[in-house]
Amino acid sequence: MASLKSPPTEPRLPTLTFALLALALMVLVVAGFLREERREWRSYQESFRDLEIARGTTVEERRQARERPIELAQIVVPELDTVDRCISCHLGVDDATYAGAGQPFAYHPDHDVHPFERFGCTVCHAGQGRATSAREAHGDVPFWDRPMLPLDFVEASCGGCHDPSDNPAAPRLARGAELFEEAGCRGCHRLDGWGGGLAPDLDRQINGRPRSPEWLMQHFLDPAQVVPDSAMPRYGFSPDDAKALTLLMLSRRRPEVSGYHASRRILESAETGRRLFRAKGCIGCHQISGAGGEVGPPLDHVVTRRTEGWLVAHFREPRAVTPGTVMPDFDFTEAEAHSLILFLRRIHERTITVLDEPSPERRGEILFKRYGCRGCHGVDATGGVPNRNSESGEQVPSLIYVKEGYTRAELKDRIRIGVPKVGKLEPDGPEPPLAMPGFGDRLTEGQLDDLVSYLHSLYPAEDELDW
Amino acid sequence: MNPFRRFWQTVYRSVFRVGIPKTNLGRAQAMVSSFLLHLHPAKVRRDSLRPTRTFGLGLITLYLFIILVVSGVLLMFHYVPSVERAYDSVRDLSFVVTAGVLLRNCHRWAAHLMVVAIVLHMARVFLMGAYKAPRQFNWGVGVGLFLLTLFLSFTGYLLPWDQLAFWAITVGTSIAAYAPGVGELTRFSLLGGNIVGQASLLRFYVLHVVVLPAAAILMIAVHLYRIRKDGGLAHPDEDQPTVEEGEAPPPQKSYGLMALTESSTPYVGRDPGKEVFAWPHLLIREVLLFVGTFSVVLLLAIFFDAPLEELANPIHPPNPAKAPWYFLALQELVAHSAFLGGVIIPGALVLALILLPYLDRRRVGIGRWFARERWLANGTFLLVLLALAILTVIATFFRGPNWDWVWPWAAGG
Repeated sequence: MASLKSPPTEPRLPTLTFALLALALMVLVVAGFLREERREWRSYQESFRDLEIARGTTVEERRQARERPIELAQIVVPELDTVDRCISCHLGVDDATYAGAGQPFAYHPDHDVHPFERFGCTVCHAGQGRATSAREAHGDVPFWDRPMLPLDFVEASCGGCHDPSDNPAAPRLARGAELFEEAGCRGCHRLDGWGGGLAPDLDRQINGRPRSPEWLMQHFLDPAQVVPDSAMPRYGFSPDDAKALTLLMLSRRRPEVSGYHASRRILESAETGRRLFRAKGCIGCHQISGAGGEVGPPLDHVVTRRTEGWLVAHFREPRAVTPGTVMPDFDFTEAEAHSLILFLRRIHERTITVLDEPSPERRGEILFKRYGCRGCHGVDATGGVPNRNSESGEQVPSLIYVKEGYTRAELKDRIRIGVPKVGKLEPDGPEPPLAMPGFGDRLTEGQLDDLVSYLHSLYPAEDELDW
Repeated sequence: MNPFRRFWQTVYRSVFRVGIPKTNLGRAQAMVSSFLLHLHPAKVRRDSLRPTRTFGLGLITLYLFIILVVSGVLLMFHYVPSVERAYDSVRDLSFVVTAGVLLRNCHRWAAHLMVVAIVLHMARVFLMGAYKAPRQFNWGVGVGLFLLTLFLSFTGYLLPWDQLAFWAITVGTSIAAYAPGVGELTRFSLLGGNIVGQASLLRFYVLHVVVLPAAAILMIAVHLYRIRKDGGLAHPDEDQPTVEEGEAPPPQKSYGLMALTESSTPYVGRDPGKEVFAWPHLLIREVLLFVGTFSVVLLLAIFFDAPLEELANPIHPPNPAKAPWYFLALQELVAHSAFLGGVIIPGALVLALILLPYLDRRRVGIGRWFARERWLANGTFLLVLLALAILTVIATFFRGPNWDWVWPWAAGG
C-alpha cells in the first residue's frame, strides 16, 4: 500500500470541532422531535382509556377499552367551513353515562337538537376548533379573535343562523334585538348595513376587532368605563338588558352558512308564519278579520276546516290538493308551511293580528329613538347634553314644551331643515360644537307627522303644569 | 474474494470511481472525477481555509438556500395557496402535522438568516476588494442573487395569509408603485389586481416555489462555476505575486492538475507550499460548516416559533403597517420622500453595486481585509451599510401609528 506522502507542514484537520458540532446537531434533531412528540390530546385520550378500562365490568368490556385507539378525531362541516377537533379530548360528549363527569369528559346534553356530528362544536361555542391543545382550542390566545363563549353567552350563537324573533329558545337574544331598535342604538350605530354614522360602525367593529363579552357588558352599563371619552350617554340599562344587548353583539360574529344549514335556519313559529304571510302577500287574495282580497276563501278559521296534512300539502304544492286552483305555488318549505299553520291557529284563537297598528305617537316615538334624536336631546327628550356657548343655556334644548312654541307645520320644517347654525350665547364666544342636522332627506311626510304627534304628546297634561 | 464481495466492489466502483483516496493522486482524482465535488479545485490555498478569511459566509448562504429548498418542498405537501385555505393549512402545521411547526420555523428562520448571511457575504467580498478583475462579472451575479434572495423572502412573506403577511405585502407592493412610469404596472401585475387578493396569493406562490428558486439555482450554478474559473478565492498574491526560492510558480488557475501531482516536471515534490489538498482539508470544513449552519437553524426553530397572526382582514389595517424588516429601511426612506427614497436611492445603490467593479479598477488591496489603500471605498461602503442599519432600526423600533416617532420604551403596550 502506498504510503500517504504528506508534506510535514500539512495542517491538522478540525476533527474535534467536527465531532462536537455533529453531536450538537444530533442532540438538536432529537430535541426537535421530542418537542413534537408529546401532544396534549394524547394524554387526554390515554386517561380516557384508563377510565374506560376502570369502568369496564366484564372482561370483554375491559378488553375493548384497552384496544381503544389513540387517534385524533375531528368533525368537518364543509357548509360551515369548520374543522372541530374538540372531540379529540372531549371524549364523553356523546356517551350519556358520562353525564355529570368532570371536564374534559363530560356528556353534552340536548344532543339531538343540534347533533354535533352534523354541526360541530365551534358554531355554537366558538373557540379555535382546529387546535389540538386546550389553551389554543379554547381560543384565549393572541391572534385568535373568537375565544370560547362563556356558557351563559352561548345563546348569542343562535343568532348566527336563526332570526332571534323566530326563536323561542333564545329569548334574551330576541330581547337584545328588540332593545337595539327600541333604545335607538341604530340612530348612531350602523348594524347589518344600516344606521347612523355618529358612533362606531358596529359591522366594522365586529368584523375587525371583536370585543369580549365582559367588555360589551361594561359598555352597555357605563360606556365611559371602557371608552373614557365616549360620547354615548348612559342609558341606564338593567344588567339583564345589558346582557341581552351583549348577546346581540356577539351573535353578529356569524359564521358563513350554506347548504343544509342555511335551509334549516327557518324555525317553525307563528312569528315566522306571520312574516311569511305578510311578505308573500297572502292578504291580497285571502281575508282575515274582514280585511283582504276575495279571490280565495277567508282564513280566520281555516284551521278548523282543514286537517294539518291537507294544509301542509296545500302550501307545499297547491295544485296537488286542489287541481285547477289559481293559488300560485310559493315553493314553501316544510318548516315554512308549518309556520304558516301555527300562525293561522293563533289567528283562529284571536291571539295574533296580521299587522301591528301602533298609534301615530308610538310610531313617532320609535322614529325619535331610531334616528338617534336621544343622543342629543336626551333619553326622555328633556335635553341636557352640553353644547358650549349655545343660546339655549349651553345645552341641547329640551323638547317637552315644543307644543307651545311651534305649530305642526313649523315643527315639521324645523325637523326637515334642522338648525345648521346654532345661535351663540356670547356673540364673541366659540361656535357651539353641536348643530342639528336636517332629516328631510330621510323622513317621509307621514313620518314627520308621526314625529310631531309624538313631540306634541310630550307636553304635560293640564294638571301637571305648575306655573 | 467471494462473488458477492466482488459484485459489491463493482457496484461501488461504478458509483465512486476513486473510492476513499489514499494517495495524493487519488485525492486529486477524487475531486475531479465526481460530479458533486468537481466544482472544487484539487488543491486549495492553505490560507483560504483559515476561518477569518471568509468566515464561510458564501457557503453558509448556499447551505441556508439548500435548507430552504428542502424544508420548502416539505411545506408544499401541506400548504394550499387559496385565500380560504392558506391560513388554516398553516395553522394545521402546528395543530396536526408531525414536526410541522419545526418545519415552518426552520424555513422562516433560515430565510431570515439567508438575508443576513448574503449581506455579510457581500460585505466580506467588498471589504477584501474581491470583486476586482477577473471577478467583476461574478460580483454582478452575486448582486443578482442578493436581489433574488430579497424577492424570494418577500414573496414567501405573503403565503401564511395572516394579518402580518397581508399588510406587509400591501405596504411592500405600494413602495414598488412609486417607480415612475412602470411602478403602477409592476404593482398591478405583481398583485394581479389593485389589492392583495387570491390572484396575488397565487402569483406570489408560483414566484416563490417555482420561478424564483429556479432562477436562483441557475444563478448559483453560474456563481460557483465562475468562482472556480476566476481562480478561487481572492488572495493577496494577486496584486503582489511572491514566489519563494525553489518553489514552483503558483499556477494561473487553481485546477492545473499537472502542477500538483507526481509527474515528470522539474517541480515534482516542490509544489507551492501554500496549497493543500482539497480532500480532506476543504471538504471536512465544508461539511463542518453545514453541520454548524443546520444546528443554528434548528436551535432557533426549536426555541422560537415563527409568528402567525390573525387571518388576513382587508378591512382592518394595523397601524402602522410595516413591510418585512429587510425592506424597512426602504419604507423609512419612502416615508420621507416617495420618489427620492423609493426610487432614486435604492436604484442608485443597486446600479452602483453592479457597476462598481468596472469603475474601481485599481489592482490594490485584493484579498486583504480592510486594505489601507482602499480606505475610501471601504469607508463609503461601511457608511452606507451603517445608514441602512440605522434606518432599519428606526423603522423597526421607533415608528408608531401613522409612522410617527415613538420611543420604544414609552410605547407601553
